[in-house]
Amino acid sequence: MEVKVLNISKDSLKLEIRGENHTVLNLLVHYLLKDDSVEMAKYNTPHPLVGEPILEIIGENPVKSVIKAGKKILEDCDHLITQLNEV
Amino acid sequence: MKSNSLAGEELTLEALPVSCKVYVNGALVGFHRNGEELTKNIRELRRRGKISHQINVVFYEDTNEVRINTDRGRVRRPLIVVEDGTPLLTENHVEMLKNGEITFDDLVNEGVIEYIDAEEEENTLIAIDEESLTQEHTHLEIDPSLIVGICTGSIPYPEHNASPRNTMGAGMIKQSIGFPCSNLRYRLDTRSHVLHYPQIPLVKTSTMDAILFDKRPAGQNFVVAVLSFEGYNIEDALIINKGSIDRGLGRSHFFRTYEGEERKYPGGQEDKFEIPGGEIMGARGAEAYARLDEDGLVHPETNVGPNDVLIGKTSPPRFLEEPTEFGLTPQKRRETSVNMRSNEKGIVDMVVLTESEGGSKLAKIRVRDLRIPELGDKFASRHGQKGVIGIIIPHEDMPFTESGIVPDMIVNPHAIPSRMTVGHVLEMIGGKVGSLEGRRIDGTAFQGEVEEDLRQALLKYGFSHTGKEVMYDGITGRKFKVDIFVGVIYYQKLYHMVASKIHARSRGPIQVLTRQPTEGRAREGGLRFGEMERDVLIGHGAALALKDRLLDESDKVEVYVCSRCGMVALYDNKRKTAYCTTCDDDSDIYPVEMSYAFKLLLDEMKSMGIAPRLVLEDRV
Amino acid sequence: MASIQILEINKLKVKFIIEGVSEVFANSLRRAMISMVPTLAVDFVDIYMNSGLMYDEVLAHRIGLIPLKTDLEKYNLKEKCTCSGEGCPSCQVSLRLNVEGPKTVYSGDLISDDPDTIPAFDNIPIVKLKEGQQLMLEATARLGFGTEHSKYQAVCGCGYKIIPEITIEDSCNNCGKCVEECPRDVFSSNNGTIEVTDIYSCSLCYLCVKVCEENAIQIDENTNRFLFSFEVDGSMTPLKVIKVALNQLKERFAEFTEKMEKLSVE
Repeated sequence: MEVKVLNISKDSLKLEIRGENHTVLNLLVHYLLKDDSVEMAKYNTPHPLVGEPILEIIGENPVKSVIKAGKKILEDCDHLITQLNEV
Repeated sequence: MKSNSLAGEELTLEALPVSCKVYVNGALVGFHRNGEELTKNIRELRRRGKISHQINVVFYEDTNEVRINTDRGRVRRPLIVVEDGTPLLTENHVEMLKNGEITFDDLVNEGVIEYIDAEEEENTLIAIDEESLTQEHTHLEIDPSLIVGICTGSIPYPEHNASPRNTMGAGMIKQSIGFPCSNLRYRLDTRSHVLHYPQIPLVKTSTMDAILFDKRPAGQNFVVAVLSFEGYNIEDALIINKGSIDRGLGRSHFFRTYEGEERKYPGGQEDKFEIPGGEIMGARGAEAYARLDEDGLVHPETNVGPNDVLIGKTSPPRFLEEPTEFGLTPQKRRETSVNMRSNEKGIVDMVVLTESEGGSKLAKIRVRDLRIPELGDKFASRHGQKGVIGIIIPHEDMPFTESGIVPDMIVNPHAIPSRMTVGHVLEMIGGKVGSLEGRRIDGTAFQGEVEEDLRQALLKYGFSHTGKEVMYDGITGRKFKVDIFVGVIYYQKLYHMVASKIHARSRGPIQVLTRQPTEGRAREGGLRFGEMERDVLIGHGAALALKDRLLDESDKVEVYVCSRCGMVALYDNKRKTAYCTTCDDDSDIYPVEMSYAFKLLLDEMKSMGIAPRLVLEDRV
Repeated sequence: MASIQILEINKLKVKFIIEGVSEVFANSLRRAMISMVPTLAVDFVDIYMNSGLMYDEVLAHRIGLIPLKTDLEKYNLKEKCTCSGEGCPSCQVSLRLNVEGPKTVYSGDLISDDPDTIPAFDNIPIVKLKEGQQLMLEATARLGFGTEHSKYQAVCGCGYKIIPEITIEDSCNNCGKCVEECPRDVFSSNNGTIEVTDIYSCSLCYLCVKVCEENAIQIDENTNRFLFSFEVDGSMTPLKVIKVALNQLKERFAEFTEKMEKLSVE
């Protein structure tokens, strides 16, 4: 995964994320949208054969929201892994 | 019959208009009083075996003609003879046929079955099946599916398709890639294809059994979902699953055979297979011949690319000068090696060294190229539903069912309603039932398995009788609001593959005669800017664009023309002046820009003794 | 909170329920199991001798598709290996084949340098050799992801469905039409009353809702309960696949969050 910052400001963030697809990005956007401080979150791949996915977030503090979403996902995954380890 | 035929004195002028004209193989041979009775008698004799079974006779009532055809090349088909509303073929006959006591030809000899050609069919009334027989019928079809030929007979449920689609489907079956013959390892065809993992169709017809299609299948059973997806299957494009392609779906090999011969020329000289040395005219340098063996032939299993040398060959010089007193020809030999085509690559599959009919050494090289399905390759079902791959989607992006089944291909629903290929839809249901029950489904024309039974079978296995299934979007994970129609259908890979067609040229070779770009992909040609394209630019008023296409990017040439006599002038390179031969003067000669094709026209007119004089004006 | 419950499990198949997650999480887990679980598969075949009838490239394709038992702790991804992509025993394994006809060559004939990395099934036919035909090759396997090629996919038939909540309202007149219509036998008649007896089989086809004259059947799809099922190709056990998939998701998001944290510092 390579992350390149295309545009960053106080309330917006635009990243180009190379090497990832819907698996990671859709999940991230879903968790971002649960955050009330996030006004808009979307990702888009210009064309499946050309170009890399671009993630765009507009909110009160996009970077903080992204970190929060990422951490929540890690938490949920951990929760399931612990349950699996008990099997 | 002798009393009915008119001959000699009986052939009066009054008798002629009402007598029947008799033609044999297109030539008028005589007249007859009662044409209908004549044809009836001829048919009687034929059925009894008194005259050849190859004779076909027809009586045209409106023009009062009897036409008898006996020549070669007529397409005929066998029909059961019907007299008085009952067929002459009895149950007994069928039993004896089954036991092998009699053969099909015996039935023809007895007059139970006869061969009817296209012309005699005009006099027949053929019943499709026994139930529809009446007193007026003359023949009965042996089997309703035999009203069509081999390819159309290979289409399942054709009676449910609109007829033009059946025609197209039959045509495309001929273009399908499969397993052509068992000796393809030994055959050196100029071009041939093999499908890697051919499958026998789940929905088959009895015609396919008759032609032994199962031994030489030409397609695979695809799991197909019908839905619009991401816009990549618009206008008949197809979406294919990358996972399926990785696992070998639709993979084929393409073979091409190149040939080289050591020709013998009059005068004792001959070509030679060898690695051309430095002194050979046109030699390409040692690197180009690195893959060749001593005998000038490339090794099998070598990777070869565009323009690589396959057979190193040298030829004697084209125009001979007299050999000097030393006995050596002063000119150099030429390099005439056989190269790979400029847009193909592959692996050398087989090298054959043999002798031609004239006794000269002949080498044939077969090169194979692996063709994995890519964007632009053409696939088609048997119902005239063709399409080109629009995009290859990863396995996980594909819509999935609860059991994790993912379609191999996604077809656009817009392809179905206007084309009315209901047979395609039925085959999908049939294929699904066949996969679930582990059996083949019979889709023969007029006697295929009934739709109702197929739908009941779907229910038995826990699927909806509509053939639709609940599917979830592979990208978002959401359940689709509408159930998707999914089935299994036999798809064929057609030999129109993009790798054989992709072509580009900016500048390149030109023809010698017209100085215009060459024609054809093999000659690195240009695409014709035809008359209709010319009309388009005229319509837009794009005059300079037209000039650019037709002149600047084609055969523009500057020619010196004498303004006094209007003829094309010479240009003396040494003195760097133009000189008009007709006026014997070098003044008043101006350069004129024209297409070389026009200059060629002027030359051709001059060759006919016409003087094409150009009237020059000042360029405004 | 999210919970996971295994319904059926054996060496090759598993059926489990995940509750308390959104469909997006369920889908990302499914996608991770398909394309983010790395397995070992042959990537490079050095063919010394092939006098058989199958072309080299077809043979190599088939060998690549053979599932190999994968121990993820033992091997690194080639790009991330200590040898920096050169190829060493920590990132690749060699399997050798040296056979002569007449016989059918099976996957069991492949001899691996590492006794733990062998084909998951030894009865996969590779090619048939006739008398005198020889096959001598060395195949190198490495770790890869399903996104690169399907040979690295560890699962087959991985999918899930929503487990709905079916309520039969009081307006039900016990006519029993839904019991007949359902292709999955979800309903049954218990002493005259219609009950939902097998909710896990429901395919959400809604045929029962359509046939009910009293509109007594209500189906709720927003339950956040999903029934997953998949089979494995033999490279690892089903339980391992789920764990590795979740771990991979974790890894990716950990890497991403780290990068974002660096960003917030700047």
